[in-house]
Amino acid sequence: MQVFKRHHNTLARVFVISGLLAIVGLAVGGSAITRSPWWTKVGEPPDQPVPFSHKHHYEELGIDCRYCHWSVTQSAHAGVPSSEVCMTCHSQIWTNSPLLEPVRDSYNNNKPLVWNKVNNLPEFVYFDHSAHVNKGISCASCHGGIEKMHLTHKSQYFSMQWCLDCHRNPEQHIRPKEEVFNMYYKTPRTEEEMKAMLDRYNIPYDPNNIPRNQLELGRLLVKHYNIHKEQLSDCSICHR
Amino acid sequence: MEEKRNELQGAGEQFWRSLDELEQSPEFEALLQQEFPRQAAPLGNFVSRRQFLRLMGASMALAGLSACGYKPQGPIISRPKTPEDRLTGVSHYYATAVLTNGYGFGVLGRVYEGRPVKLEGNPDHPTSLGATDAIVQAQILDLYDPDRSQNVLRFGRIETWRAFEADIQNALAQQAAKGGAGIRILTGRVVSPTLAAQIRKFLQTYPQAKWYQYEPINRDNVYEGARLAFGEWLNPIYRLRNAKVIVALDSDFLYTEPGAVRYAREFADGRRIRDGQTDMNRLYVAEPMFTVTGMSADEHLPIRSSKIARLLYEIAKLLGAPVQATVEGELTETEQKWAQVAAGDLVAHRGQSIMIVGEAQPPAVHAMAHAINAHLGNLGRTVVFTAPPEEQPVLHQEQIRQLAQDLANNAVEVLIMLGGANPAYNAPVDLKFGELIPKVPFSVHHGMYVDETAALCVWHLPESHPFEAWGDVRAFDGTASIQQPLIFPLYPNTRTTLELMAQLNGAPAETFKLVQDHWKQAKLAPEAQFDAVWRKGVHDGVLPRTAKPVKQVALKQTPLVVQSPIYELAPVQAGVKTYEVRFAPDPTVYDGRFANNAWLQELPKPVTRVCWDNLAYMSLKTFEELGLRRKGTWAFFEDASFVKGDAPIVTLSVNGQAMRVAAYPIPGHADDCITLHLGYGRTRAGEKGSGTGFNAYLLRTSDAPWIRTGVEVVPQPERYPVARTEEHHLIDTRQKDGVKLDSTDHRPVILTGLLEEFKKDPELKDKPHRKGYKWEHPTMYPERWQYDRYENPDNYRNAWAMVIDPTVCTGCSACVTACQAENNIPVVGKTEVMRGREMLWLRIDRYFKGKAENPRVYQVPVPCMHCESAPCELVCPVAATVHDHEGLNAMVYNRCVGTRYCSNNCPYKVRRFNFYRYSYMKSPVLHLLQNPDVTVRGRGVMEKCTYCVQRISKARILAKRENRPIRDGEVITACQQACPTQAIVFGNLNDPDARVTQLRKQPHNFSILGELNARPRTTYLAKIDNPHPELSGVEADHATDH
Repeated sequence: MQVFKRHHNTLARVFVISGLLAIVGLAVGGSAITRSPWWTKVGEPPDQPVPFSHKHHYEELGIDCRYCHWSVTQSAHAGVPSSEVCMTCHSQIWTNSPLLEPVRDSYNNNKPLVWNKVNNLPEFVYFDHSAHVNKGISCASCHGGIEKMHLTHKSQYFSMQWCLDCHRNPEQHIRPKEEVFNMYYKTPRTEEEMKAMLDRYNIPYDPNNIPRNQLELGRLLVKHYNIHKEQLSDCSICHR
Repeated sequence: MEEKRNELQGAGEQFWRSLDELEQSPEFEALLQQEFPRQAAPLGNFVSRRQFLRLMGASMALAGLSACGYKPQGPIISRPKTPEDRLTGVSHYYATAVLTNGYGFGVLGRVYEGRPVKLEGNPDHPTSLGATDAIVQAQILDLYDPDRSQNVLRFGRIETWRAFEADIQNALAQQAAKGGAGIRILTGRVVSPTLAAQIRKFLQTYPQAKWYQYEPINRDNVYEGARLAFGEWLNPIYRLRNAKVIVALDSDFLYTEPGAVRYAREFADGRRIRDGQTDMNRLYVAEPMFTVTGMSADEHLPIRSSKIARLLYEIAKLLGAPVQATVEGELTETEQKWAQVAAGDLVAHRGQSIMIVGEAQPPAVHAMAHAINAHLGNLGRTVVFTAPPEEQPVLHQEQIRQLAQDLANNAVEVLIMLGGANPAYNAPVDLKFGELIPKVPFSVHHGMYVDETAALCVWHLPESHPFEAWGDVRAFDGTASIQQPLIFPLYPNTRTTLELMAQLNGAPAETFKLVQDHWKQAKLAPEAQFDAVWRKGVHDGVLPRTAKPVKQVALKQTPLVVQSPIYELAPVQAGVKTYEVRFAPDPTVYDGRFANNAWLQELPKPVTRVCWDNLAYMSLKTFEELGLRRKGTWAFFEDASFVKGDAPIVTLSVNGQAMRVAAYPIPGHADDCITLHLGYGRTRAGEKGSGTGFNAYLLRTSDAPWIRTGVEVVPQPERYPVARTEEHHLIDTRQKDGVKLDSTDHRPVILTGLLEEFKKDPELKDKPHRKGYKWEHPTMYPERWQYDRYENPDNYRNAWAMVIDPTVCTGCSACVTACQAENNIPVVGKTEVMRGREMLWLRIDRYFKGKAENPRVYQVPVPCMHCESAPCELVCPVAATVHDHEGLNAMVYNRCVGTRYCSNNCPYKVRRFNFYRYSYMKSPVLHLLQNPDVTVRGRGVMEKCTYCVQRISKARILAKRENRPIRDGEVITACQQACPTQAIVFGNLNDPDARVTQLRKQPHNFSILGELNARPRTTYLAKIDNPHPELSGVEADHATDH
């Protein structure tokens, strides 16, 4: 007896091909989804107890990053400021603002404020802020555009690929140490500007061979700061 | 079996790791040949082939998905106020002190965000000198022990402190009328000046009350010995740095006696062999069973404890020392010869020698040793005396006997047991404390655990850990340290002994105030300077000028007449031979107080390499004489039952007291005697400690606390499984070019030699380890690592390396526990250890050489070798183990898929695999213990020693920040930091001045399995022994050495 009819051939082909397509589609689609901002939450500010604005404090008031994140140059963690730091100003201004009620409450009653993390790294990654800001990698390189953020959100998805892009080619992002906390820094475009900057920060250079662009400046700085480029992509640099 | 044993031990340079290897048992051969000896659990019949495929398929599919999960966002908890000088993510060190071997030990606690995670030795403290022992390392785990008592209990039911206070006030008020005649306080040894002052204050209020102190491991014999010799209780302190000849009789001064860590350092400083420096002290040890001290001996003599008196008297006679003693018994020819040689060496080094006698020996033996030291002019040079450092020195055996008498006479109405006193478990068995305590109408137990004694008391009060409050302790030389808290108390209901006493005195106060007020009254410094002195003292961990002054002493009579108790083996009566039992503190759980400490339980014991148990150790001859048989561990696993095991059970009985214990033979043990370690067989120690091992206190009586003779041994039919690690992670040297060699022809793993040989040929070229093997293989590739490349200091490179010196390694295992604490290494439990799955990254390999009766011992700590051409890296399919530019063989946990190929290909067997989720902790309090700098590894991941990469990273980041090279000594690995003898040196090979570079250039530097050309970065210095030419001539193993 004939169990399979002729049209079953077509059906079988359709199933096999669509099955294969589904596997490929799942892989491609899944990977696209996990990298999309919808999944990674890039650009989406999480809820916070206090709607703190980096734009207001940094851009409009000109407060340095280190006023609040003062451990950034000495510790692995940049540190979330204590309520006491907020109160240095807010005991004088906006003293009755209802938005600041949680901060006052925290300070007066010795209760910690619970913020929500914006950026997060897996626990097997050991990132050190001090190692970066002391070697000419700016806050902006990872937290780019923070000076424009009213509510703080992720500006990058910290995938390993993204970290390695810079660890393999730090020249593309490095800048003079003194400019690390300057969110408006631009690589000097003209020779004069470049020379003036290098002189300003006592960075030795060959007068006949003044760097013309970020890459050339980067090479100069990598050498000047004794950065062992080949070592930066060692596993043991970030994983312990 | 006998034949084989003789064959192997006859061949001079043969090393053996266990009795099975010595006998070349088939089980041992199987272990060597196995790909994963015992590690891979055989699939039982419960999984069919189909089901296996189904499970594998499902896990493959799910494994892919696990990469997609986005890490959950967590909270950030900010501080309300900013503490001064505190940085988030930066650890701080605080000086404090712990108790070890009964006395204060200065430590620095590393604190992260208010939680201590690691202890280091305090370099300023006289006992520590910067190092620690294993017990000190593990005390951080006690702090976070989930089994700690948290509540006040009345008859086992939760009550409040207020209820207790009301109850005790009532009881004290009744006692006040009769001056407190019914009150008894029992504490351990009190070395805290403030606590002693509080107790004295209490005794002033209740003049008829009595305070007793009892420690099962005490210095009674030492103090009484000094009284016999000098007329008063004195505390001997050894100055080993000045000693060229050290004779230790039944003494473990390098490990269990007070001051051991310092002594180990001084001992090691006298025997470091470097080029041009070949001065080496010589250590003679006579003892019943190997101790850490005995394993380091140049001349070791196994002898029954009871015969030590006879041996010492022989030496005294040979020296002409002014001693008249009544000792009987005859020495054997070997013992006679040993005594002669030791005496000759002592005479040749007058003023530079020392005679040390252990705590277990009777006072008369101590007195004889003092007379010998006086005769040799050693007093004031190698041994000095101070007043006892205790606040109130007592004879502990006497005290506990008096308390028992008071209890038996119903004279006690209020019994207060403080600071974890546990007489129901550790008091002499003949006093029957278990029956006496319930007779007291008002009994109080105060301790960190609801232990055996707490169960018998009316009230139990929870004690704080010393890291949670202020306190003070004195070290073995009297130096006082302030204990400052490292953490806010974990449980609100706990109180320290000090707080409790202050409360009983009617003046409760904060511990800080109590301690500071005491030192103000004790005139630590003139009032105007007190604050400065106090602050500096707390900061440094040592209070200035508190050490007890050295006393000038002289023998009270010459010749010194002493009477030594005579223990002779009872003659065999009616065919029943009796044996002698020697009690000793356990090398890890001490007297039982650390029984619930899983790190100490799982640490392979320095001598026996057994964990989670104590056994009755005896010589092979005695073992076989009793008709006992060992059984290969492999067989035990094939029948997959844990009922059967290695060790046969025996019963020991004497005078109606009896205990069951598993027996096991150990090389180098004296015949006709048995060594029992105290501290096991606890019934209420906690989840980990209860029910492990055998309770040796059941045989320990008040008149024979250390040596018990006349013990009858009856073999029983049962067997007992033992977690022996001596045969784990075996290095196989019997292969050469893939051909299995005859077992008598294999190349030794380690390079050893005698001092005389070293003087003639520093490279020890003729030694079998060196002979006939090519070390450098020709290659057409350029050198990968150029060690002389120390370019300008601005552009330095690091090449990390380690050199270990087994000559000074005592095998104390402090490094192993330090590694465990630093690197978040989980414990796996006895059953998993028996499968060879212990996770300790650093192991200590113990090799014997010579006859089983008295072999020479070699200790080799084996961390990852960080091979330059690492065999493990070649076989990893996912590149989870790779090299970095500083020469580290890095292990990337998040990449590892757990094929275990690397472990199979590792010739050194240093890789450890997480078969289960060992790091899972069901109690959240243990999460506080984890070192935040190190990843906590999950199931299915391979792990191994990283050379403490987190410490390297920390130093590198700091150096980069300051734009300078990492200095020599800036990176100290955890094992190196803990090592009491500084046997481990770590550093940068590219720095020509680094200590590690200097050591690697030593002529006697060698690599383990160097012929494989894996080019290990961890190398060793040859183990050099300094035996006496006359004695080593007698021993067979040295005769064939040349």
